[in-house]
Amino acid sequence: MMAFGADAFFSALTLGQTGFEPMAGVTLYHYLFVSAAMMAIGVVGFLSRRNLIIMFLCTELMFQGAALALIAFGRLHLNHSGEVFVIIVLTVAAAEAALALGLVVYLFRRKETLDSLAWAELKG
Amino acid sequence: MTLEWLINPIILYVGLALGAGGVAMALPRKGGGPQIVGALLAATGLGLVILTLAIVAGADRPNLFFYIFGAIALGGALRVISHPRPVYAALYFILTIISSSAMYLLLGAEFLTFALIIIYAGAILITYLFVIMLATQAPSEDQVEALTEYDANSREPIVATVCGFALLAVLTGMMATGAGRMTPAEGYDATSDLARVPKKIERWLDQQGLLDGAKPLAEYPETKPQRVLADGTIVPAQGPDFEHSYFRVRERRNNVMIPMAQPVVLLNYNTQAGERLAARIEARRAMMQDEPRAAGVAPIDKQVVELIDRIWDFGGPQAFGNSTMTMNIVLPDDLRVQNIEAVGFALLGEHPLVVELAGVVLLLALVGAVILARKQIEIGQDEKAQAVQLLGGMSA
Repeated sequence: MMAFGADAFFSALTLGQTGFEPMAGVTLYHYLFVSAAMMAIGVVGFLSRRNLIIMFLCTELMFQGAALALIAFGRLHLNHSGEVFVIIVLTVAAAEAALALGLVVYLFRRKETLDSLAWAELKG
Repeated sequence: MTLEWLINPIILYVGLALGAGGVAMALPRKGGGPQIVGALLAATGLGLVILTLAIVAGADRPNLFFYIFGAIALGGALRVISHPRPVYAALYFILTIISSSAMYLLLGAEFLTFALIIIYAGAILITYLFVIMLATQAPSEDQVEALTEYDANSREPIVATVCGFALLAVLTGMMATGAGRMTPAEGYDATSDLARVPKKIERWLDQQGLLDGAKPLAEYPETKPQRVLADGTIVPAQGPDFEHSYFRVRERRNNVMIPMAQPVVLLNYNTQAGERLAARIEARRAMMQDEPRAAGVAPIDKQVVELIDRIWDFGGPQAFGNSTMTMNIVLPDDLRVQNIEAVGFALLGEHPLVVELAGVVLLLALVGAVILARKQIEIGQDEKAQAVQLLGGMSA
């Protein structure tokens, strides 16, 4: 039942040959499940970790989950709009890394700690 | 109306609950905690769901590489949030990035596969590592292994895990009732993409020696480059690729599945260029019938011979009348629009605003980073004294 054909095993990594056959909804769901799980793990890490840098790493994890879902949907519809949106996601991630890490360095030089609880007075 | 679940909801939710328990146990806390047990429990829970899905999918299940790279990606993600040391967390994030880029490859997104590795693993994560080094106190000699208090303890691990996995349960449950009903695109029309890049067809014909001596369409003043749309209307073609094209390319957008072995493109030839081409093909054919390697003619592979035969089956130049020539040309299997070209068309042709928006976002980030970097940090009295002392010592 779980036997994978050798052709299926090796056909995936031949460049330029993928992306032409229709994809079933249940195949799509495999990718969506992994992307949603990555997103959820990112949420858990963002809520529970106290190191500011790891919190931002967790936002990148959430970006990755969303990007994988976008690519999978683009593959389902056999167009490239999903990939174009992932390019936007990459741009936003790069901008976020530049700004957020600049802020992290700034905060660290103010209080000599990366603990997010050290900035707890920011809560409303 | 009954909801059609792709996967038994009880198995889905039990697997997610197991995964949540495992993640909660794996998060760092005082005195270590049962991290390995937690990781195994999480793997069991998520693995249960994936295994059930694979059984449900039957022949539709994805490639074996999907399961390998999915497991590596989720394991790396778990380690990112559970490893107490930020440097290791960043390195595990690189592992997640590389395995999710492998999943992009399985989905046929080759451009983004390598863009992701270069941009994320190569640029963004290196920035993270720099900041981790900048914003960490140097450990003292006797406690190199010591963790800071905020790295060793997580805040409210159980509540956070419940929140995250409630989100996951809602997402996956909702998608399990919807994804099965999504209708996939009927098929991929390779010619509609090829019709947008006539230069690519031309380059192939040129490499086969069939276009030698023909001039671009733009050099014939009596004709303008045109495109024949799917419904038969003729519109002027614009863009450099069309203006220097030898052909009018008939666009087919009827979503018909064309057998992958032989994509067919209909080319409408301009009169003079078409006549030259036809003459060349005829000369070629005559030479090949006599002696394939005679008169310094480069050997032509079997595919081109079949191509030329196919054209002659169609009736030869006389069959096309005087105004336009239409030829059925069987293009070889490997002549197709590659992923990078297709993404380029999607980006610049269909969504040009995206490029502008990305530029604006990056410009804003640049301005913000400059403003952040200009801020002065107040220095306390002790550091000022130290700095004065240091400078005095150097000048003395």
